Amino acid sequence: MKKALALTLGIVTSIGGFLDMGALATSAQAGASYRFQLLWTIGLATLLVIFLVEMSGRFAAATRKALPDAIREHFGFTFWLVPFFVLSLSHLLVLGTEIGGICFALHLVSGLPTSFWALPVGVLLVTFLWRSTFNTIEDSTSLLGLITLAFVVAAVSHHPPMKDLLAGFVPTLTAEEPLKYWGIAVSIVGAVLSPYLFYFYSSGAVEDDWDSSFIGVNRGIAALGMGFGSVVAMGALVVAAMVLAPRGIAMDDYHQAALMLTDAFPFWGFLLFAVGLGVACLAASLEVALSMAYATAQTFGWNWGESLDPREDARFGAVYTGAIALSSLIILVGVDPLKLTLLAMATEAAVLPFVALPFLILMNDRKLLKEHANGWISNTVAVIVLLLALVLTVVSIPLALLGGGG
Amino acid sequence: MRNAFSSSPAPSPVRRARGGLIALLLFLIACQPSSPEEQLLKTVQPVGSWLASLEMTGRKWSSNSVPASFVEAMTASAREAIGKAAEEAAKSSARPGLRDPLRALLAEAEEAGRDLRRAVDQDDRAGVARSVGRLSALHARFEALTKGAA
Repeated sequence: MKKALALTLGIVTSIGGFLDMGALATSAQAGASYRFQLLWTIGLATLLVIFLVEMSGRFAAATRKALPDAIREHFGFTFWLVPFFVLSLSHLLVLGTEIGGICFALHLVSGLPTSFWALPVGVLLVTFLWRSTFNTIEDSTSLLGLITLAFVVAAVSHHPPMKDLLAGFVPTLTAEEPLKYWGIAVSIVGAVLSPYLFYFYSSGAVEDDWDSSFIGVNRGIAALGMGFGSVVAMGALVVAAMVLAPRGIAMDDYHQAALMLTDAFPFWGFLLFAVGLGVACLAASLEVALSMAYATAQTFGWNWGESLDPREDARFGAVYTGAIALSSLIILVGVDPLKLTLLAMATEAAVLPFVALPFLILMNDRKLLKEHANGWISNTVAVIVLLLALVLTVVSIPLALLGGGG
Repeated sequence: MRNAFSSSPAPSPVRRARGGLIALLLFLIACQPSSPEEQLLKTVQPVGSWLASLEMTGRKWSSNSVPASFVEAMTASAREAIGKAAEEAAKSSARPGLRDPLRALLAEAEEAGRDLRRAVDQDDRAGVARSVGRLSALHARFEALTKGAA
């Protein structure tokens, strides 16, 4: 039963980590601009992220340690310090993006400015994290996250042409406006391969007290959880392709995305979009705030655990409280959430090699992982991710600037 | 025997990678629009999407699918984007045969957005239907003008 319930960790990781503001925005932009042609990028990113999440879960179950903890122990504090600072900056920007997403969802429903909601959302997030345990967060966000299936239902109800849909899983090299095409492709992969996703998942596995008996279940959780996020992201792309693209709406602003579900659900579509976006961003905000607190506490060797009373791990609580306060401030001063998303995705892409390389080395440490160390399949995928991460680091910023991707 | 070619060391992987990256950046820069006409078309490109968005928003408001506050927010975002494109178009050195009709169309687009918002504020369904029709015609004209010039 405990193992079956562990699926919620996969789904919450997926809703928060896979299906965040960046992934929803880039999927919708891909569908609106290129119809089904960029489906392959979500497919590729899903495959890679399933392997990476499986590896981080396997690592936690086999060693009973989370990744930042192990990287610091293995490579030393000095080695880890630079990636840790870059990662923290990335965490803050992504958290700002997700808080911006919740505020934007509330702006849609209330009509009040996005920045108006920054402080109330920040206070709500801190209160929720202070008062709840890890299991409460897992269960509530997994359950609420099911609302994002509205994108999948809408996609099916539009009866997309199967031939075009399947053709979208084959990369196209002759797209119109190649800079924009590759800009969006890079943004989708960059948005899905978020470093905080692995840190959250491995720390969550430690919180859930996984041991080596969970290694088999972990595979299913990684595939099903990430598969869930992938299907919803593909749903968003298909809906945008069926609703926005034929009208010539290219999605230059989040307001345009809010119209996506109104053809399939004329009365509820607008509200469903706002709630779906709000829930996905809420889960992502909790996940990023916790991931930052996990990484910081594990880097400095502090007590950590969302299920502990805040008095027992005060510094852990102080990190997520401070991070939420700072990120809320970014939205409060009126930074455009779309521009912030682009910047956050670029920093995520930049930090990925710092995270992927030590991760790959650790996953091959047979002293640490024994029979659970990486085999050739996992290593091949990890090397592909590392190479992709290096390419992303170099091209994401010029492509975003020149091609308008993301 | 060593010749001029064999005497130079083979480029290291780092140098090769650096060369590849420079080539990629040059390719990306080379793909940017060059003539004033191309630059103007790129600047005004989002306007077509905004006209379509305003049209869809008006239709959705008429069928009670979106609230009036959303129309207000959408028209504000559209006005900002179209206004920015109009400013750039005013500075453009593209040939007047392309620039002037585009500037006139952008001014009409801004006005059509204002009309839509006014009609929604006054709960004037007939006015919204008229605005939607006008936005649809403007979108078609915009497409014809930009596609014809491209």
